[in-house]
Amino acid sequence: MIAIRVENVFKSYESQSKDRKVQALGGVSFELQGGEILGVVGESGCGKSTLTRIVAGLEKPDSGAVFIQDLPLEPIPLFNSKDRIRVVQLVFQDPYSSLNPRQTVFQTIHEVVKIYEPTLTSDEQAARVKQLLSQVGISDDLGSRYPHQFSGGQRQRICIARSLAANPEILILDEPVSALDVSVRAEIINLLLDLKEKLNLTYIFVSHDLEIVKHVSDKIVVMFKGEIVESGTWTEIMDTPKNDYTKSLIAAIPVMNQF
Amino acid sequence: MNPILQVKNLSLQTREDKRLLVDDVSFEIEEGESVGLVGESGSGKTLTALSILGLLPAAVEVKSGEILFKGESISQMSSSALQQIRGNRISMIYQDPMTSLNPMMRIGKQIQEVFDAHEIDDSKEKVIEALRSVEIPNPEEAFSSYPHEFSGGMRQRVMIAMAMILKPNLLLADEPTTALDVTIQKQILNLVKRERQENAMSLLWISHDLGVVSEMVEKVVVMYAGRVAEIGAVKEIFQHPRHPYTNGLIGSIVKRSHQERLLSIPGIPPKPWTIESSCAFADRCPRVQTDCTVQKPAFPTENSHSYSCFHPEGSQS
Repeated sequence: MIAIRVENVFKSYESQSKDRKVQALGGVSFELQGGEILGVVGESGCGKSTLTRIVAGLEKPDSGAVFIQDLPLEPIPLFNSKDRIRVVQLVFQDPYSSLNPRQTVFQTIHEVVKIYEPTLTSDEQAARVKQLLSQVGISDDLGSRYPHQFSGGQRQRICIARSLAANPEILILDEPVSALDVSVRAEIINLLLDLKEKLNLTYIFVSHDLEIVKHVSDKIVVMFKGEIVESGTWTEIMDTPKNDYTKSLIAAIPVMNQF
Repeated sequence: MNPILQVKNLSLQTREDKRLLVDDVSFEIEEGESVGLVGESGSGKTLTALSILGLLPAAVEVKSGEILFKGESISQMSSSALQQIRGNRISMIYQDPMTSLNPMMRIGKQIQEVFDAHEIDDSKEKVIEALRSVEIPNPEEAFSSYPHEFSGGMRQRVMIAMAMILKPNLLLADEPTTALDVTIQKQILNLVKRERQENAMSLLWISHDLGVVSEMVEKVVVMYAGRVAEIGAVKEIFQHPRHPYTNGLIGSIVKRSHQERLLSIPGIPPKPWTIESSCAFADRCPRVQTDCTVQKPAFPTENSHSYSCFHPEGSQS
């Protein structure tokens, strides 16, 4: 099944002074099969975040269309279409600022469970929260702790558990390991790859770290100035880069591999 | 060879409750040499660098040890003597070029302040020349621009121009490319390499990114939980890491087959003040034995490949 189809999406924003339009996306199209990982690469300002927000239904495209599992993703008011939102969940870059510091981890995840599984009894909901935490490797007796009592890697695990609480089928991972230390990154990448297989998820993996994108992605798109300038497997892109930006991106990969 | 900088048994602690933050760190930078200080957040790499310039945060103090610049003890210097060295003989560039520039002051004026601080006659031409040398387009126009008018990469170029204008002997670079896109990062790396060659300058490159470090330096100092884990030539470190932590770091990023699980180091680094009588890495180490938990391994002091480990990689365990 095609998990995501994006057709010729355009999006511009008004500049602050409202006197001109800034184009964030200029006709973006791609398709992603269920169970695949799409890597999205590009410099800041290339439209990566706009694209993920549109796929997640948080922004409305000016023109073009997005289909999630063959159903059009109508421009939806955020709180009005629980079920359409359920399918696509987001994990953000900074696990420090994306958790409420005044809620325990249990409360944070329970909040989502309550929305998506309202028919469960409160005991069952509590059990579900514990199961979500243990699924990401957080011992369930840590539920009463607050975010500041966890390390960055643990916090990112909690954010992943929260996104899984909605039973999503597609996860958008926006630089999920960039804020983490090198030795912790590998663990989170491994966790994401394990979860993907276990829960049969589809990922959009946004990152500026080419080594990681190369490692996890089945397919890669390179974005530049609001357009997809290159797409294919890593080998296809590396062997025959067509675009100047892609070439400079490849030239910028640190040379550690020579050792 | 003469070392330009010697860090000797440096220990740092919090002023208030005397918690150990950096434990007995020693390394040297030779004249013209480029050294990478590698470690994760909390490893003490930035504090070590700041103490070289006498710029430690108020809450941190030197517990013991000393730092010698061209054989002279920096720790013994008066603040006015230190002021003569800062920005002149040793300068520093930081991670975030936005917060390191004054948003209210024009670029040219900010660079001229370096001259003022060292009571050197400033000339606008010299500043424009410095901006040109870091490849800022239209340096005359840039002279009277404000920081917000520049992109992140251009701001970092301004910082480099400022750091380089008095031709220092040693540049301390604290993750100066972490906030930048990869293609811009590449340009900045090339720029620093070129400046270094043209001015025969020594470099201390501080980073958690082994890829970047491998491109910039000849020697690597790996720090873990406030201590030096391993020191060696960059090629040695990457090809034959002896400390299990270094090995894990390299294993967690080096190429595996597509979507194969990466090697990871379970757990998180301990706080330096909690591990006084054991190896800092003991509770995460795959090669740990009883002696590691009751005794501190000796720290590297040599300039050649050395490591702080009882049971290093490649030994009988």
